Amino acid sequence: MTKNLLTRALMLALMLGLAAPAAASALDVYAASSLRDVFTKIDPAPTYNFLGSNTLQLQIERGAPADVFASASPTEAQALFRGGNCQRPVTFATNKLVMLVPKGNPKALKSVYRLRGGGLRLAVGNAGVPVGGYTRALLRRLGLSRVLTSNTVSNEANVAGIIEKVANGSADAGFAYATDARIASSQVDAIRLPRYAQPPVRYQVCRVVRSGVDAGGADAFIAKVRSKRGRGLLRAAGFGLPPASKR
Amino acid sequence: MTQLDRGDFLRLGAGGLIVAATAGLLPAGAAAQVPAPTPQDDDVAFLSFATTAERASRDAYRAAYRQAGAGFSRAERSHLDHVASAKRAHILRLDAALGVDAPLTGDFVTVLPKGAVATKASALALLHQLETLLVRVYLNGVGYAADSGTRVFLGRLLAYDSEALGWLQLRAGQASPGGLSSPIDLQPAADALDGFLSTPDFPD
Repeated sequence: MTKNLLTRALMLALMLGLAAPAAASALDVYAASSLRDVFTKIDPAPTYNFLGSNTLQLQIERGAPADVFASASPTEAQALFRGGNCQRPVTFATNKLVMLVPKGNPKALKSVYRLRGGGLRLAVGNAGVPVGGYTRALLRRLGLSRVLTSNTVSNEANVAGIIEKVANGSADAGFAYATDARIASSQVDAIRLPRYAQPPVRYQVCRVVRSGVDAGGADAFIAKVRSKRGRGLLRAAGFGLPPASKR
Repeated sequence: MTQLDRGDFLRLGAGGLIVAATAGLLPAGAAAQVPAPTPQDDDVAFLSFATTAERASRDAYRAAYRQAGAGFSRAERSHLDHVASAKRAHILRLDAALGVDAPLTGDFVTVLPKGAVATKASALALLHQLETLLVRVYLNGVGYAADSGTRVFLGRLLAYDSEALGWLQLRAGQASPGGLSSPIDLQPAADALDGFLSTPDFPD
């Protein structure tokens, strides 16, 4: 009997002991897929949900228990702000698009203009996800919108899908962020794109507005991202940084 | 207002009138008849290139104007200043036509080669390079833009920059330009422009 009580007490203590750190790290961060590597380096503690920014926006609008939202374009964060679901977003990083080709560039695609010839397989983000919107803006600026009809196009829900298609050779080329190309550099090569046509890729972060939000934890996380260390890790990962005045 | 001496005026002939028109000096009625550009499909490409290249060109004119010891006369410096101002107006119109596709301040920074405006000769060579690039792209756009308003708009920019190119050639002691340049595709044009651009907030 005494032994049973002791065992139960020990189990309860262990459960409480385990529960305490879980409660302390219960911050839920919803972030764009392209932030996976760098965010987990900046702070490994939160529970992360990495998906396409538009999907995350929808989840938050439907009441998902997010504390922080970080999107790969201002569109989604600003929409949440306008809808009262998020505090005013701030820009914390920038990026660029590159054209990806499988490692070794088997089709010898040295320029994006080579896509004009048609007959290739492309992997692009779908129009609703930031990388897809940026890609379409880039192609418009280059006068290459038609390559999305003259080539076989696979529309992907996020950057990970694009990288995978190009890396395994299912696509001859794809468009993704420069930081993703760095991470997958053992599987893909990156082709630089003309500067004038680059759409400004801006990442924004905000604290979610909902009942029960971990406001203190969210603010602390955003502060970490924007701290000197956070900016250093972002820079090391290949992201650009907005000027201090825009922070 | 462009300052021309009598010789310039005679040499440039009708070009002067084109300048007046494209610099916004048309009577209000005539200006109102010009259709507003509503770019379709890939027309945006010509306008996007133009607004970025015009920014680089404007910055080069400004740099040349500010380089007091380069050897430009007072009238020449006044002309450089005037062209820079006209280009600023053109950029605003280009950005208005582009709408949400217009670049934002800070997206690009013009990078001029070291010593590019140190002397009159080097400044003229730099400005000539940029104006030639613009003229050749405008020739392409006038021929291939889908929207008629965009074609007219690009045509007016072509007229202005052609005249500016003529002025530069005269100042460089070259003969009056014999005919127009040839159109250039956006691919080599983009490569040429990239050398003058930097994106400081974005990773390179």
